[in-house]
Amino acid sequence: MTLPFERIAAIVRTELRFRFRRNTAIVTLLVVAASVYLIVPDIGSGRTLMQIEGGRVLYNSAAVALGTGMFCALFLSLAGFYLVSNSFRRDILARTGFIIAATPVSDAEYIIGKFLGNAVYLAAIMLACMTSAMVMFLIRGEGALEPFTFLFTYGWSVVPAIAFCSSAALAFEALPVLAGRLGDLLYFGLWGAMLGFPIALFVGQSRPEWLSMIDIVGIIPVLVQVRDRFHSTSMSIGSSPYDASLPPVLYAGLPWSWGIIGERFSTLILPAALIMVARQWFHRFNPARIKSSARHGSRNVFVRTNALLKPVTRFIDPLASMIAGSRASFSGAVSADILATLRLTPLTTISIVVFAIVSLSVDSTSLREGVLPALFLALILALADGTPRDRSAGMMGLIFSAPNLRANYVLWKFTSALCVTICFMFIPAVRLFFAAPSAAMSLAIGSLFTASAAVTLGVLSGSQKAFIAVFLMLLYVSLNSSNFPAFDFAGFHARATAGIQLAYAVLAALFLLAGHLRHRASLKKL
Amino acid sequence: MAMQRGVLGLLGPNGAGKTTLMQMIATISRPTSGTIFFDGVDIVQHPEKIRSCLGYLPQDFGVYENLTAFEFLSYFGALKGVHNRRRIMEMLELVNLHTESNRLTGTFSGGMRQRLGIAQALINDPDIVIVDEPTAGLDPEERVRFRNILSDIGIGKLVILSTHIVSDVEAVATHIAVMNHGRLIASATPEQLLRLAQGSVWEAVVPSEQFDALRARFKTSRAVRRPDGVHVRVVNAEPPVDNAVPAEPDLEEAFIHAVNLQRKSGG
Repeated sequence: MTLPFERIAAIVRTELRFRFRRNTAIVTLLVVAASVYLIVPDIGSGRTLMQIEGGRVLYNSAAVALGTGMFCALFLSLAGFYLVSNSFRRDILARTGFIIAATPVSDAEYIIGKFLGNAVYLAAIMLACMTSAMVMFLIRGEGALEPFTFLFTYGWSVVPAIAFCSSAALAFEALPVLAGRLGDLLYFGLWGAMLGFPIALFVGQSRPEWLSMIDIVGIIPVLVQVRDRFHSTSMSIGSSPYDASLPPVLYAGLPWSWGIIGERFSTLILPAALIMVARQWFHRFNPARIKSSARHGSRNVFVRTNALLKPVTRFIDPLASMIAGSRASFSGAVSADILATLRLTPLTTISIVVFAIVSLSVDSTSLREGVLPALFLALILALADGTPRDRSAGMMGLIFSAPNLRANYVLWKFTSALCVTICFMFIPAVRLFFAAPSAAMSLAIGSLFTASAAVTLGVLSGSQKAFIAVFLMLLYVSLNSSNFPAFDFAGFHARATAGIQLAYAVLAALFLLAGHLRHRASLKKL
Repeated sequence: MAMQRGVLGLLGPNGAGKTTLMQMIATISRPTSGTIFFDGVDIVQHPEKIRSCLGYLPQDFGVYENLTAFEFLSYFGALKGVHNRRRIMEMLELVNLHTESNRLTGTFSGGMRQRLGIAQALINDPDIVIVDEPTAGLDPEERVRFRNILSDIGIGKLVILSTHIVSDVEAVATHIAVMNHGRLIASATPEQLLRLAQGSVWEAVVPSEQFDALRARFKTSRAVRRPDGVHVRVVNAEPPVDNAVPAEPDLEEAFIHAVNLQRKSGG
């Protein structure tokens, strides 16, 4: 006799095996460790982890735990969603869903198992972040290391964020209309709103009772504490400049009370509701319901729109016939892949045309600050599926049988992605070249960087999610860091120096190299 | 249609509805109408009744590529209530994968994956085993081995086997159901099905130039080119050519005969 928790434990165990054996896990842990290194800067550099009213906050355990914990909550509440939002889809693609559906495991057990699998995986990332923070504290700290302060602060700030995105990932996957790229995009919007809305209400002196329920990263209690203690609402968390002439500020830690803990517990109401939504809409691998969601996506708005716009691709046909007449060559294969992208997603074709027209009709500042971010958003969605689609459609064998593509797969995909990127960026780049040459250079290098990352993250993760997650976050950070030129990867603020541009060019090359090496390694396994 | 203990062979042309029927019995799909009873319980309303004693191997079966064979089997074992490590190893031994238990399933050949699928279907010692095209991808030796496993299981349980390979059914089925266009058109023992086709199978030798015309008019079950012409077997109520002689039907011809009869009756 198997108890439900034994089945749930089996699901959790298997989820963790899947996730930790993927390259994405290593990449994520490295990204987290590197980010912690960056956000806890050496105070001698003129930057600090936290500043209040311009003064730097002393690097004691409470401050470092809160600063890195808030970063971790922010990171996991966004990237965490994309990292774990393929639970049902993986069982469909692995073609094991029918077997699971025929076992005694109930829908509730399956959903809870998947939720806990997601949550434990993200909690492991949280622990990696916390460990990195403690290591940074040992290097740059200004007091005694208090491990329990780290543990409680992280638990308080990060656990609700983990619960939220673990359950949201399941709910989004279960609801046919939110499964896929539309859901990925909407979650980004939802995350931005859930981050900005509580702060906007707080700044507007409004603090309704339900506010804590949607404050997934726990920023409001921190702002309240800073306001009460320091009579200020001016603070920043993350590597930021400070006024060295001001005395350091001592932050004593969160005011632990049942009230503040209970308030954070109320944030768990939303994940509980989302789990119920997932349970209600879970298809249990019923072929009729899968056809209408994950596989065929007839209710997915992106898929439906692309299907409706399919006649638009007729205009590409003359180009296709020209290519068909040429001999088998690498350039021919690249052209075929570009055509496949345009034919599979007519929205991409239309976006290219629309953005070209808009780019010609606005002034150069609006182009750089207004149009370019939207353009990059469209580009991210256009490039995301370019590489993973081959594997998920089971086309790898066919592709590798074509001349030159087996050994040069990454180069082929990169060239194709770069050409699609050029279609998007050509007019803005030409216009910026005359108005702001440095921004044009950033845009060119940013395009290169985006195309290479799209291919490599697709090769490494086998899914579009990793690229979407990383680049939506980068886009968000870049647009909100006008004072931090290092994040201006595409010239949105025209602040990137030649060194920063060179760094992104090197990163693009490293991405390509990593993708190529990973591909070579996978070929050896075949 | 009632199913008893033994091996039920499910035959039918492509699109007949075999897989859909199996998915409905395995409680993956819900029928739009009608009911399915197991031990007197309506499993459309109470699917959990059958799931606890079911082994299912779907036609479109895959594996989690970054799990080892042992991990894969212990996962599905756990979902079905089996936690015994020895039982998992027994199953791997049964399908001849015990030496590969620690290998990632992503490196398995198609046949090895299929064998792993068979092992997961049998791991909970189910009362009902539903296997859809189970021998696809297996080499002849493994196919015979699997047939024997099904035969052994069929002694005390119900095994529902769907396949295009009639020789598999011929070797193990104690009962045969023939489906076409979503309908059950015959349900009988192999002997009864063969008796029904008696007198409807003809053997003839025709010149090569007449063969295409003959094939266009009649259902041919076999044709072999020889120096004296094409030796052909035809399934038809009347002799297809003057020199045709009656022949003993085999199961494949009995199946063609059943489908022919349904087409002629307009069903």
